Amino acid sequence: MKTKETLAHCVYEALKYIKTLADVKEAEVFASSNLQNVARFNFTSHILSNGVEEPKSKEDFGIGIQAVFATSEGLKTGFGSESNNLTLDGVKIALAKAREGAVLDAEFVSLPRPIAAQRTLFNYHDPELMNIQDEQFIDASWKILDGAVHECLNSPALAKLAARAKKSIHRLGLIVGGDLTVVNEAVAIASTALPEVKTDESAFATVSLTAMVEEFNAKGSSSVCYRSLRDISDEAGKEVSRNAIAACGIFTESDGGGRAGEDFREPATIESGSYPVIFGPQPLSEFITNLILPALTTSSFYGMESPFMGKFGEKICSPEISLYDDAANPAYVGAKGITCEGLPTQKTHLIINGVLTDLLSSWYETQRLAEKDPDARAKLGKDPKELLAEGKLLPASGFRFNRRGRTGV
Amino acid sequence: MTNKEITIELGDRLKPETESVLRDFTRNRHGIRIADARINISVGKGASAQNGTPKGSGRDYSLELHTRVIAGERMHAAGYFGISLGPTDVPNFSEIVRSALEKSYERAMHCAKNKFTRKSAWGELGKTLWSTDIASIPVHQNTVPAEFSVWPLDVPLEAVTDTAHEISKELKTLDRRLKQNFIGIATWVERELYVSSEGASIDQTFCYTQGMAYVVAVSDGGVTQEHYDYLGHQRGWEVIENGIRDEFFRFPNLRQFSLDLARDACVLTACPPCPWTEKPVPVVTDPHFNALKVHEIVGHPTELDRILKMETAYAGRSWLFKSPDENLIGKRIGSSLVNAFSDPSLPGYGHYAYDHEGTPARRVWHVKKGILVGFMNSRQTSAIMQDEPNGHWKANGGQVVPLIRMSNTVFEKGTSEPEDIIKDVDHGYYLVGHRTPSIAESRENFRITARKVYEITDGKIGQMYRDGGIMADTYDYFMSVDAVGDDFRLFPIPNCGKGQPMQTKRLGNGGPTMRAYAKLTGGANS
Repeated sequence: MKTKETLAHCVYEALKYIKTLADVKEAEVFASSNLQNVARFNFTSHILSNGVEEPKSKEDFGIGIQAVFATSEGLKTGFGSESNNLTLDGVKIALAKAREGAVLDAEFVSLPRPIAAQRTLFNYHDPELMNIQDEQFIDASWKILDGAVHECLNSPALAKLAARAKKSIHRLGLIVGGDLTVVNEAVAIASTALPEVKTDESAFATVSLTAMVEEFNAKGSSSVCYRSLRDISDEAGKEVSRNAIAACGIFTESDGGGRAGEDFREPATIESGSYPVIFGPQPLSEFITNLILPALTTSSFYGMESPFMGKFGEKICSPEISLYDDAANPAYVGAKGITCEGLPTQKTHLIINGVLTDLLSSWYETQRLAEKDPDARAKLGKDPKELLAEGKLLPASGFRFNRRGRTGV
Repeated sequence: MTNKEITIELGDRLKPETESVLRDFTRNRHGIRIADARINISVGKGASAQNGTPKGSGRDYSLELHTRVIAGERMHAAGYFGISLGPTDVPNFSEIVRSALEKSYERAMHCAKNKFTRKSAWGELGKTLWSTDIASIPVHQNTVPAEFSVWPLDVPLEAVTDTAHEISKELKTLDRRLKQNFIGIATWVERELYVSSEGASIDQTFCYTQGMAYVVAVSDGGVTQEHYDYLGHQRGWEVIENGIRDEFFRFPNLRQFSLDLARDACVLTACPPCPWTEKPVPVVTDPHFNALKVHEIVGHPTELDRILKMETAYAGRSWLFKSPDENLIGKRIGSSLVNAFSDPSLPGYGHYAYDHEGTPARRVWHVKKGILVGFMNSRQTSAIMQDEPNGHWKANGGQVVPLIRMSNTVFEKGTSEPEDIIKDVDHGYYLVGHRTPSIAESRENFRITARKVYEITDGKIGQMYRDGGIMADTYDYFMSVDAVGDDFRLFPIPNCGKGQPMQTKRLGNGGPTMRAYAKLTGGANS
């Protein structure tokens, strides 16, 4: 990992150089360093397996430049990046790529400008997690798996289930899968309009587990997020096994005969139909991530892909539902001090009591809707300029995940 | 000397350096079962346009390194390391490879130590912890060149940008119902080097060219149709300009491909939503639809990592294999007309000569005359199952651990004329083009939507519907297959997701026209 100071120095020198170039009218320089450690779990009690299957990592660092060039055809915008080179040479290569690929994007307004909102989140990461060592990582992975396996070994319910199936517990087809993932990120950014170099560092760990007792077609899951290395425990492992075992069925205490298994109730199979359904946090987060949030971005409204077209300020769901995005809360795994456009993160209330109140956005998308899209009012259901004046559609979600440094929402 | 850019030719230098480092590394370490390194060099260009406006273009390159070491004292375990590199790393490449191997080795040794401790500490649940092994393969040294007519790197970036822009502009004025369009084009070259401590040295180069069209059409009445599709091949720029027309592929050029998709979307906005059926009805599915079907209900459930439960927390398991004692190997799972295999020797996105651990790739049959016969595998899963490696351990890049992935997974062609398959239906439905899959965890049932659904009455195609599809139990569906066409086609699948971190991978799927029974699923407004 490169330190944020190293990245900041690169960005500072890059901007200084770019300001000397006559044809560059605007530019934004972004440098980042990323490391992802992943240990995949694969324990099976009835098939040969490795327990901790894959201790692995991937890492990269580099510089990305978004620039506006004055050309004989008009102002062109381009993006270029260069891996593993934070020197002035690397800056020149990235800029040359941006210049070569620049296009006349008639919907481009400007690179980000200062906004009134102030950054609230600084120094929120755990330095120990940021610098996690291989042995610590592997030991933590085995500790999580220990939790899952010991829960099975010590579970009276699983022992009763094994007796009921007339099998030893390892022949019940116990499975534990999932992973421990630690993500470390450092960024620095500055632009001609926002020349002060801003930096950010974040580190978080996630544990996602699924366990099964295949003999009973029973599955359980657990999911935990950590912001500190010291917090990582075997609890997620214990929980996933508990959940899988609980899904096998219920032993009731009112056992007249006194023998285990006589009052065992297997989960019922439900006929197709309409029922009242209660969603736990995990399926709910799946809904939000895959169905709801993609429909609550300015780009989805521009592209007419949202089911909520024209509904800004209107009721779009039950008044029981309120939804917000909050990258500025240090307790959350998605916490970031700034966006990848250098703007402060914030809490964005997307739905309040069933009413659509805001959208996730980047600078480009907000500007495009407000300044360039003649159909924006119809698409949103409200004038985007009025919404901006009300503090809506703020570009608090311009991030660059998996886009080779290009910005997205 | 510092390289200014990453080039495909750089592989000529990196290969012998890596071989040398691996030889030294394994000589000086104990307990190693295998050490290997993969180097991926990619150079290419791409452009996009939206609603007649260019959105971006660029030329870029990448260099990625991945190492694996399986090692240990009393038990073996694996350790992996991946890194993205740049031109400035080339002078120190040997040292970087050595360091990556060292990291992988230390991870493997530490993991093996932990595993050995649990082997006894976990009591009866420690019995299945094994000393990681891999099945033997013939060790090859080989160079496999790319196939192309127009080398992607010879195409001016301006030509790529202009092509995307011109098509997007044409779509913008095509039909007033067409509200959105997006065109993406990429053409690039990848060189994959694989070097192992066993002496393998594989050098494969691939050309890829891909076009993507995305359209949204909205009728005056507010009916929205959102469609996208890809054309692509392991070939050069000719794919975009001329399309593909050979034994296995039938694509027009990207302009025509995009216009056809856009016209379909516009026409569909005026169609009624597809009806639902309570019971299975005769359904004829075209090769494009069957490409996604074979992907979801043959390809994924015959990946051996899924079979062995390694994907339980992610992609899921397979209904074909509950345990070594209880599975469907050698048993009937479909009618005698159902034949399916994976074959890396076929052309297209799923083509390669060696997988990412140097295994010579070969056809593996999954279903023969309705009987389940085999799975795609890797050397490690092959060692567990004690069968022959068939070369399906593939990564989507040079930085990540390979997984068992489809190559070209297809239904075999049959003998019926597609027209006759439709002609024999008194009342049923003809599904054309795939759209969205929704599949059960173990792939035991499925729902897949089609771009277009036509009603068949008295052997003739009639009313067209939008937003339709089929759903069925996989076993019942396979058993009901009663006609298979002779019109076999292959299609590029650019975005098959699997793994953690997610690897989005290109591969091939295909098949002929088929007829079976399934419930028809309808549109949201029906």
